[in-house]
Amino acid sequence: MSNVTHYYAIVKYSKSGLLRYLGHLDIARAFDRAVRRAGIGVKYSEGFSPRARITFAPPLPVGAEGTQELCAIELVEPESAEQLFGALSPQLAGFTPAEVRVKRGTKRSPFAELQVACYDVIPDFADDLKPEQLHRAVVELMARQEIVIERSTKRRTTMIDVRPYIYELHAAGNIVSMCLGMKQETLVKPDEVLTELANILGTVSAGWRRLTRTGLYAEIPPQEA
Amino acid sequence: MNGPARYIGCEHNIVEKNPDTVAIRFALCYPDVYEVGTSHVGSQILYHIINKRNDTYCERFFHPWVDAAELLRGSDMLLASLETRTPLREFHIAGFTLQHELNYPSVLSMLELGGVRLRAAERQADEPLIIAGGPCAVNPEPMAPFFDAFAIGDGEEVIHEILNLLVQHDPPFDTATGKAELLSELDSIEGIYVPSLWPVAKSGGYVVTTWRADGKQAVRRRVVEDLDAAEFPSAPIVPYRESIHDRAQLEISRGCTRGCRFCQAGMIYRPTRERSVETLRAQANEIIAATGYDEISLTSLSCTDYTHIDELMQLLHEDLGDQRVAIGLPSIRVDAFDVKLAERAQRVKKTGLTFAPEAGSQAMRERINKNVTEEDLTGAATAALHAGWHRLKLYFMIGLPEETDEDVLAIAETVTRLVELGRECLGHKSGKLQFNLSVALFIPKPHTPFQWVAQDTAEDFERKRALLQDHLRSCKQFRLRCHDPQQAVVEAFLSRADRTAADVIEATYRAGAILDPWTEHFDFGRWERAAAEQGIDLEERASAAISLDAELPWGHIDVGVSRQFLLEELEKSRGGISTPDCRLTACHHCGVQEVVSECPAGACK
Repeated sequence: MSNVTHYYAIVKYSKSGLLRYLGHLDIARAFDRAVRRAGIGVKYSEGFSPRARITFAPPLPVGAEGTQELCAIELVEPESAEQLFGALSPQLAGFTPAEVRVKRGTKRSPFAELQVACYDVIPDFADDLKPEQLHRAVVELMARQEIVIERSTKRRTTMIDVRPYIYELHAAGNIVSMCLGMKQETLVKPDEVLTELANILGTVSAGWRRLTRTGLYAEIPPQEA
Repeated sequence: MNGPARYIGCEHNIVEKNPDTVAIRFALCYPDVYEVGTSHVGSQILYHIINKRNDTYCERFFHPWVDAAELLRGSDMLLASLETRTPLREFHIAGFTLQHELNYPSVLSMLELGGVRLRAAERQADEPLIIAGGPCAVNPEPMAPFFDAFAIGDGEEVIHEILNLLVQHDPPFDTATGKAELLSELDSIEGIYVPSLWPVAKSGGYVVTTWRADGKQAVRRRVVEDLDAAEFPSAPIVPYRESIHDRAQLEISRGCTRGCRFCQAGMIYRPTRERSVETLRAQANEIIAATGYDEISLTSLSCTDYTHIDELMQLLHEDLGDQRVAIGLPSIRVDAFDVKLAERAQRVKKTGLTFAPEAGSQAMRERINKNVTEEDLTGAATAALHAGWHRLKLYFMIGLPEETDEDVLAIAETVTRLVELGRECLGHKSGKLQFNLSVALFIPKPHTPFQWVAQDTAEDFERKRALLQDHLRSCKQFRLRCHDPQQAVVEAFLSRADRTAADVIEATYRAGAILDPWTEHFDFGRWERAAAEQGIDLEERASAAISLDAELPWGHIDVGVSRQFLLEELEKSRGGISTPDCRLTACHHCGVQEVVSECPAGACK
């Protein structure tokens, strides 16, 4: 393992409004071109077809919004965050960048320490569902000792307990807020939580009407009493 | 919904205006989906030119994908612009580009989805003026009943004349009189064809335009003579969704006088006009700075024919190489192939190389006037292989006039020889060798020397394709892609059709046709039945030769190239006689020298 220091410009941006319909590759292309227009000294990969080293936090599905999304642009050399922000902002206008900070690291992946993703979700359940019902279902689900769900890949199906990785779950009105694990071993998808809630409510989840990722964090919130 | 990013607009370099502050709202319509239309350079040019005017706002429309089209049809929503979500019917004028005959039903679909009546004669005074341009407009007849006017030829200048007139007339119109006055004034602009002002009559097998009271006999194509001074968008729209040509495009020249006899573009864009190296260098730098693209493609009908190609490539490489911008030469003539040139193009990333010998046998290449030899091809291929290209793309065409099975087999022989050559050149690395063989089907096009000749039937095409595949079976290192024979038959029918084909197009659209260039949406039966209802045998029409003395439905469209020249070229084709490029030899009096003030063929007048 090398101990090379990497410098990253970490951009906090939002994927909202009409841009929520972009796919992850569309966003990656848009950032690549914005970085080129901004004239930032970005590092390129080696090899046959060198690419600018720009990485993103785990992608959101098409249609989902994110208000605190993260992108890391690997820099050739450290630069001032202020200048980077000034150069990038007009080129990323649609993504309304909120801040740029410069981070140094020795790990290959700039987002390795991210542990938790928080979401606000409007579930697509029955139309006549009352907020109190949703609230009761959330309390019931969180009261469980374990929540075993089925995960299937092409090869096999496994049962896993995701309860430890649902760090927070609340309902207010028709919005369900949740903070979920996002590492490979702790990953819980918002859709999986919705399916469990729908089971409790005796209905079928058709996914979400609106999904907003509100934040990505390195610290796991303390478990509530 | 499939690919919702098609419908969001808000791309980088989109033009934002307050529609209330302009006199004219212009709908720029491309009758195919976003990712195809957004790559079209002509549309980008018009978007830029029109939006530079303070009195006009140009907004874009594309045909939605089938799922979204169905949703729109089932709702009370109308097809709306990407810029301000304004329905098509609220615009003053809509301009369609006709790039491909198979998109004709999609034009009708866009009109209807936008709340506009299909036929010009049925439209109310307050509906938008519907016009069209693009290469297919050189035979406007099959679409004539749907459009108020066509602009024939280059659009850069005529668009201003149209808009100036429109501003004077101040639409929307309350009465039909206002619109009729506008149409009659449009008719007096050179290059504008207003079909409703041209009486038609049956002559031979065709409905053709006849004598006009004012004695006007033809509409002459517009030619931008000084391409260097013509506007070019330096900040084109950068799509979010990946487009078919997802890179910057720099138009280095327009027109080609190599004179391939099957090629419509080579006839209808004459003469060859080039932009200067200084202009192109400045434009390339501006475009890259404004878009952030990592590739710029030099577009033209034959980019290695650009007079200063070496110098241009060197300068672009100096300017853009450090920014890791690749420079693309889309197709390279085998007789002009130069390893240094290709290497300069591909220094940033090595993509494929494309050669277009078009025919396999020397005799056929002479008949179609593709004046390259087997030696040129092997020479170019050898050089490319030695320089490290392992993937080569080859374009051939089958179904050419008087083609024999020997001519088809000659393609297989040529490919086999190239594969052997590749194995020799690459030695132990020959496993990497790959030839991509793209086989197009010959379609007789208006205003070409082959406009009178018969097309192969779909069965002929199938048989020849199978023959080719059969003879290449033993050879593993190529992939063959062939156009769809039934699509080619419909394309041939539409490209040489008269006004009666409008009923066939509308009936096919009514039967559900949209996005027909997409093979998964194309249904030959739909076309066949619609044609049969009008008493037309589609295959018979496509595969019939047209008598040399027949009056042609596109006879009143004067693209500059004379009928006499086309006849001579057809005659020379039959004798296997070639016609060299007039830029390299002498004027062949194709007719264009009479139209323009300065012709690059030199002392031709």
